[in-house]
Amino acid sequence: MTSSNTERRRPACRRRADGLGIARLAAIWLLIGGPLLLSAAFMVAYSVGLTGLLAHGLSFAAWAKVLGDRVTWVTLGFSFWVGGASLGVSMLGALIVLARRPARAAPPGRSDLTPWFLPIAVPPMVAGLTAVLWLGNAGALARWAYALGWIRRPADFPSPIYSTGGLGIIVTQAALVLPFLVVLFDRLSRVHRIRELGEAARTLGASPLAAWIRVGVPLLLRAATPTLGVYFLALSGAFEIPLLVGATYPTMLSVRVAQLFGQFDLSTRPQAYALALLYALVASVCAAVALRVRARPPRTERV
Amino acid sequence: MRARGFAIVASILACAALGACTRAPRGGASPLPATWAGIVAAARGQTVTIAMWRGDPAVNRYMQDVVAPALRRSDDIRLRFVPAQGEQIVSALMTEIEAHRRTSRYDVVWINGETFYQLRQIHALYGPFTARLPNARLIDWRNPTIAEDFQQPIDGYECPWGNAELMLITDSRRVPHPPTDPASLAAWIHRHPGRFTFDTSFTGLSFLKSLMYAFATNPAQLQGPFDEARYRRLRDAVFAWIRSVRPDLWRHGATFPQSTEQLNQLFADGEVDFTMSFTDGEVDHRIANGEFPPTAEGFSLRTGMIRNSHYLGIVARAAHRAAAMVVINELISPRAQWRKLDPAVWGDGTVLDVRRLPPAWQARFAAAAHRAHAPSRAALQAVARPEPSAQLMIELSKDFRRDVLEH
Repeated sequence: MTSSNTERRRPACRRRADGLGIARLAAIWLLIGGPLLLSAAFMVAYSVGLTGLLAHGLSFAAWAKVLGDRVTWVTLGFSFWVGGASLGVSMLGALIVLARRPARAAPPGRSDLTPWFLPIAVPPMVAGLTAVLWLGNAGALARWAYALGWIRRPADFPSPIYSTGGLGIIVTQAALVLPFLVVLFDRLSRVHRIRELGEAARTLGASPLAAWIRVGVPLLLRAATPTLGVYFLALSGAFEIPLLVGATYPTMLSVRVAQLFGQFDLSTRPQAYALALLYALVASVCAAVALRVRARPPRTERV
Repeated sequence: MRARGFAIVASILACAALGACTRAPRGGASPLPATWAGIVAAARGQTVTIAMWRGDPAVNRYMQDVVAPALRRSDDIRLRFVPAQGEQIVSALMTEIEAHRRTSRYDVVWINGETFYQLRQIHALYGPFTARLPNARLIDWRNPTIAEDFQQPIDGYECPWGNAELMLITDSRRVPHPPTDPASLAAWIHRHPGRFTFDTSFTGLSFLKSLMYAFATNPAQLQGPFDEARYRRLRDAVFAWIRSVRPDLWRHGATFPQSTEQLNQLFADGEVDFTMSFTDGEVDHRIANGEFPPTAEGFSLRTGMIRNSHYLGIVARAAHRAAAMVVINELISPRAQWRKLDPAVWGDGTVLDVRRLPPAWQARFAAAAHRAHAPSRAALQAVARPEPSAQLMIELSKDFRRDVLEH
């Protein structure tokens, strides 16, 4: 094989490789993007009266109703409040856990974080029921408080369950997400050698707390931004826990969609699709903003 | 490039819309044999899927331990139970029709008024079929709470199975003299803040409809076709009553239990002093199971309580229509209805006109055991009020959410 032959073949190989890459990309789009796009298109069609058993032709009445309904915006705001608060509380918890973690590393092949892996497997429904059993007005804590003489009746126990501020949902979701964040932050701190950077800061005179807050935490949060963004959206759109421990009103968005979907009045179905689409739209915008923020280099690098 | 992207999205949208275009529902099974003997023969060896509420262990036991073995022995039919009720059934069947499924996942559905109204709207029920059931001639068709479902004629599209009346439940040790009208109930609520609430599901809405009867000058105001003006007047009276007691309801009326099961749990835990039931024998069952205290008692408001029947329908696209008919015929047989009447089994009222039964069966029905912790059937009958129209239920549900829950 002469060198000139090789030169002639190279573009062909590259072309084949390019072709394979495009085929792979197309397959991924077909498998993931296709169904998603079709579902979204179906939802759009349903919400504007182009399909559905009770559809009467093109109409934007469902959208007008959803967009003009105060409850829609209360629900959206409440969902993001609960999602943000749940994530904030669990992030704070995870950072405290890692900050208080002893400096020595676990023996090779073993992780001192093993106990944190176990709660990750708990399904949201089980977490919701557990929260009711522990934190409800007739739950385990209330019974202990009664036995100790701190309360006289179930109503005296300050239960976060069914609270209109979403406290029960926040506590339960935060408890569910905390172990995952501990494991995630631990892994990221190893990858980004955050402990070593903290030690460097301490040798330059920073206190352990200052080193953690001013060096470790910003680096960790920056590295975890995409995952945290996804978690924020997932927590804002959660269903089982808000259904089990949430108040009748305000509700989280997914619960509201389910309510509209299953009401006695069948004509509210298009509104359910419109609301779900609205959430998908807002979530997409949030995700795009988060990615753009992530893509921007940090201020120190830009200088 | 942008134009091409737009074209792609537009074509996907068009495909989705065209692909989802709705056709008229089609039956999923072959035509039924002309005679009952032919139907019974065609039903042999089939498995019938029944979508039903599975929230009461007594009902589940009755179906699994009494009905299923009897059908297997007599007709070689097996039963499969799927938990679903009300809007879940409507939603599932609606989705099946929209997805053009040839056969449904359900054969028989256990329903009542508002679900019947919705299923008829989307043509999801098979019928008329009741005239073909041999045991249907024993049904008490002259009773309006049986022959009409939420003021709608059933037209053979569902078969009456049982009837029940809404009942309030309290613990006679905690509440020795239960209130018997809205005014005394309101006074009790004010004297005992945080100890009363109602759920936001079917049972809670039935409680509100019972209050509507209490505020009506004549029960006839809530009967017949839906009357917007009358409805609004009574709705406003009920909502005013709720607003007056709301600060003293459980959790200050800021939230309500979402289901009767949740309300029962609150009652069993001692968080509230009242719960509600649409099953006459429920108090006895729950006491027997240790869920309610032995001092729990059912009672009625003397101003009227909603009484309704529950029905069995066959899904239009049912895969086992013949077997579904045999199953329903068995469920309205004197034997099955008599067993169901027994409070130790279920305690559900019969839909049969007992006078039409052979004397031996008449004697058995007359000697049927009574509930120990609920008013007698005669006492319940005295305050029974028929269900208003299905449209009223739909409007009330919507308005209650908008004006009370979300206010």
